[in-house]
Amino acid sequence: MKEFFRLTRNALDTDNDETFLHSLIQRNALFGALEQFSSCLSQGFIEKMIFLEEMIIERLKTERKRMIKDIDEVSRKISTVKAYSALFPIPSMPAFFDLTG
Amino acid sequence: MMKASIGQGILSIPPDRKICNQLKLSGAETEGSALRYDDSSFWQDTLRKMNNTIMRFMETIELINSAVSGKELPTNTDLEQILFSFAESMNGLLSACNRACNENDMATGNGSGGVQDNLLKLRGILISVLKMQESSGEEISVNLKSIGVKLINDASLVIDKRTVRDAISSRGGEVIKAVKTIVSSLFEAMPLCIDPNSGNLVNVRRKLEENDGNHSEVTAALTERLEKERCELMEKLRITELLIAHSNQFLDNLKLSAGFFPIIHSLYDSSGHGL
Repeated sequence: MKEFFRLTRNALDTDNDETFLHSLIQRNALFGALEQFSSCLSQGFIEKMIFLEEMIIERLKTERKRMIKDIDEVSRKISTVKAYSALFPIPSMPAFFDLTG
Repeated sequence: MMKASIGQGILSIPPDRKICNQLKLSGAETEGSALRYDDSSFWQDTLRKMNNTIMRFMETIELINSAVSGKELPTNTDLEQILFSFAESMNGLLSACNRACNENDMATGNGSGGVQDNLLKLRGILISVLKMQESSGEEISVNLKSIGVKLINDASLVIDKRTVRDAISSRGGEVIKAVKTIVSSLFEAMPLCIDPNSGNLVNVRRKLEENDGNHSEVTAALTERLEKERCELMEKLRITELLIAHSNQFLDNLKLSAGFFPIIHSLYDSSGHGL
């Protein structure tokens, strides 16, 4: 229980995205154990956990949005790179290059 | 500036790429004669400047290539100055590309869209070469970053003088190797030269890759790096989705255990600490 709570706090306290995800991945393994003790949890503790969990979910959703944006950006770059041709790294442009040479 | 400092250490210009000594003769450097347009509208003027900027860049890397191409460097070759000249020239071209692409007048000029596309692609090519240097650390023993030349925000090269000096004094051979690698990559990605007769910028066509349309080594390396980056992001996204699902499930269970608390947020401050 303490470990679960510690990992949750670690995740929320860090500004590093990697650490955030790493803490949550570690925490994920403890969900099962936590359920076994759920009947013993005090009302106050559950209230606090609910609040923390909502913050976790909110940040995860923000991360997800950022990742989708990053993936989109990388995909766009890949398309651009693939559009390059070794034959004409810079497309022919009469105003730019003299192709008669 | 660059010519004076590097020129003293340069032996000769390879005859098959005779551009440098012809540049002044052609008048292209000062007059912009490489662009043969009579119309002097603004965007064409920008083109002329770009054309000359590219030529000066090609001239610089030709000089650098000549300076480092021998088995042993002449004793008076200033490696530090070579790196500075390279960064200065690269930054000049990158900023010229950015400026030209941002000119509003170009956007409305006849044919300007194609020019802007070309400039954007040119910028992409330059960045991809520099990025390849950063990502190919395993293949070459040293890259620009490790010798104190860093690409910042995909916009300019910044030189850490101390790192550069340390690298030159302790592993000069590796510095030369890094310079050689990037110069050859640039030649591969930008097969341009200046016609010695006309002074015009010429796009040297490649024969080897004409038929199969394969990408150059530079673009292949960049594509591979981007694909890897995308795979990593996809995997992260998958894990994040999984974590969201588990957290939602956990939250539902908690709410079931405790009932619904509509004013629960007021019990804690914004950091989650109990009040």
